[in-house]
Amino acid sequence: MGIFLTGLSLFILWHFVLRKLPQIVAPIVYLVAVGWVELLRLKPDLAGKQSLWLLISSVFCVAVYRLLSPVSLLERYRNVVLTGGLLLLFSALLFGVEVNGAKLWLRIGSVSFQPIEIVKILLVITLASFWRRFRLWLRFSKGRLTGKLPRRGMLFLGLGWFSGLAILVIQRDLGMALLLIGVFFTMFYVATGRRDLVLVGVGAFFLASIAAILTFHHIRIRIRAWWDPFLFFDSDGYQLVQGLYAIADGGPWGRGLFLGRPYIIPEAHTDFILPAISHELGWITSLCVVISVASIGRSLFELGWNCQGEFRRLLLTGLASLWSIQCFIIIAGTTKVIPMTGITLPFVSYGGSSLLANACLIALAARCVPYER
Amino acid sequence: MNDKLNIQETQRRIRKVGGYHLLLFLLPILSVLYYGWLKSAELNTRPDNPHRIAPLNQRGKILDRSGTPLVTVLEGERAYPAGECTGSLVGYELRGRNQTGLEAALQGEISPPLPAVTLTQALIQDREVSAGKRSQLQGPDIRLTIDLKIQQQLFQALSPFPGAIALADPQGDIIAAVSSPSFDPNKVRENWQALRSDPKSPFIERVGSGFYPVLRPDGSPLLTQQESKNHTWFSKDPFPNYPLASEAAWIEGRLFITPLMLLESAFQTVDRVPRQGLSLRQERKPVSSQRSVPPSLQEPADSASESLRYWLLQGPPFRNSPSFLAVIGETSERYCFAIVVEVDSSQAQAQLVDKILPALELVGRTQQVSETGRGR
Repeated sequence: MGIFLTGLSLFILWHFVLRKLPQIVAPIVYLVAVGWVELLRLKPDLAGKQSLWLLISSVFCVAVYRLLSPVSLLERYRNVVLTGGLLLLFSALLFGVEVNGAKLWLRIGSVSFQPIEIVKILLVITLASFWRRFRLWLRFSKGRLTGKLPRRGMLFLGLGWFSGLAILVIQRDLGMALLLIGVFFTMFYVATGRRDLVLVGVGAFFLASIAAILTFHHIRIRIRAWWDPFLFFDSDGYQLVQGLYAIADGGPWGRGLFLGRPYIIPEAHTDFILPAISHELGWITSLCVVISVASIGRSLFELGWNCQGEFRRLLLTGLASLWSIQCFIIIAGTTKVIPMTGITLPFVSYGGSSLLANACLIALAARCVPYER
Repeated sequence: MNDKLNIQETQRRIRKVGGYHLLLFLLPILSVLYYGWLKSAELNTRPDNPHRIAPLNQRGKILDRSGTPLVTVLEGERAYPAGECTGSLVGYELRGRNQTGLEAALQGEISPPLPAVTLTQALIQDREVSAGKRSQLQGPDIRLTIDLKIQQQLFQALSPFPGAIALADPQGDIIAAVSSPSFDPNKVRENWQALRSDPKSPFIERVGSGFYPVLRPDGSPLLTQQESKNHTWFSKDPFPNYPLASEAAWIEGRLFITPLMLLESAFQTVDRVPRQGLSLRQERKPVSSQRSVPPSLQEPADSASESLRYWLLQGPPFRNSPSFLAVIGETSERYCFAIVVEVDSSQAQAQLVDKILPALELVGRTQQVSETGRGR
């Protein structure tokens, strides 16, 4: 039943949307398949739910794809998009349910939903439309760093910068801050070409993060547990250490499905699915997953490079950047490259809102592509 | 013209940032290779690596001295047919970690051999063997000196009171190691919260790791290790040859003993592997019955008391019990036992002695019957 639903949703996705993006069909199918099989092994009851979510999100994807025609509708209603995003964010903060200490979940009936996933995409849309309007002002002042920088543009820059810092300090979430700053400045750079401002912004953010790490105890503890998790193997570093043990024990070929013990890792079915896959299917498989993810990111950038219209280009670049950085954060978090942040690995981890949001991302990307391709 | 230039510039920028984004993915790939390949040998030998611990259902059985299983595997699951009376002795395991008791201590002996994991090993090894048959591997069984029947009887006798009984036969084999309150290892996961929050701490294995404070009869603590060697406040020689000066017994300048240490003190020399083989296996030092009983102790009016020696250890609360009764002695069949019970009133103590002594007296007879039974 589950496998039928999964197949059906992949077919829907392919038939209505992905035909326009043939270059990302194979990686997406691969990700969904690997993730679903590992989920079936880890939590058989959740695998059925995941198939259902897949079906829902593929239908949602088709709906988004059909409704947003042409894609410039998004630009015209950018204020609606912005308001919607803010409303979603605040509703999560106000009415959210706390899971693992973070108020990120909305609960409607028995269905839990993480609005932040959708907010990320709305943020990219908003940024695309606003950068397009601000870029001319910013460009005119090129070469005069101290001179006339447009006030509104700078305000906007500063706003993004400070919200990144706020996420870091208040939520102590290095990954989220990285995501926001990364997407924000990527789109800014593509829109305006002001490398100097980007360097200043990112450099200042880097310095500010170091200062925050040195000042705030709770961030320092996190950083320390990440830097040497084996010192904290039974407390803060437990999850990461178990992930690394799973990778090391799996070896290149893995222990084989149902022969390993990936369930030892906490949250193996969501955040730490990559070490779980690595454990049972081998790190060769997990490298394939990473490469598939990267290739989807590459295809999205290439589509952005190819497509017509400034807004679309910006939007696609933003989506590509969002996809890549988001995947990087979780993959790097589970492999001890950066401190861990709880984000799902798109199409692989269990999670309805993540599936929905990423299906939406794919739909937007497909919408931006002109028909002759 | 200007517009065209703009587009080209934008495209150049997109290509640039795209390249940077893709470069990011190089880092986790390198990290996976580092931990999965270069460093895997080191990670796999670390003692806290749970994958180096065989899963419970592949481990061998733990049997008592007559071959009755204390721990076995039923339908692919670890099962504990003896239930509560051996709970804190055999321990439990949750999610591949949190191992306690014999499951943890004997882990190396009852586990099947572990598979190879490095790249070269995996390439050389037959994949069929390493994957398909591994799930059917079974570790060797182990036989303890524990006698399940006696263990059950003593647990029945002790169970309403928190405390521990350790019993050894004349050769020094430990016949019973009873700790109360205990838990049913079959149902640890279901009762986790209740067991965790129980004020009597059923998870503490009191025979080998229930450290009870030793005090002078007036209630003041022992201060120096030298003092413990020249103690005149006990009967003449309460811990013969026992290395009380060892650091294990001294915590923050105060002496603590476990029931097992009490039992060991009845034997001439002490081999310090109490939790593993569960055997003392030493020359027996005869327990003389002429030994003086400390005056601070009221002897229970029981016939068996003639062969018993008593010490009362009164101390500050261990968890929520204000005082302890510690007894070391010998049954008429020359089985040596040590009992520590956490009771607060002398009434309860007398009640307890009434209950336990008959059980102990029965022990020798049960043992003889079962031995002759085995002989046939």
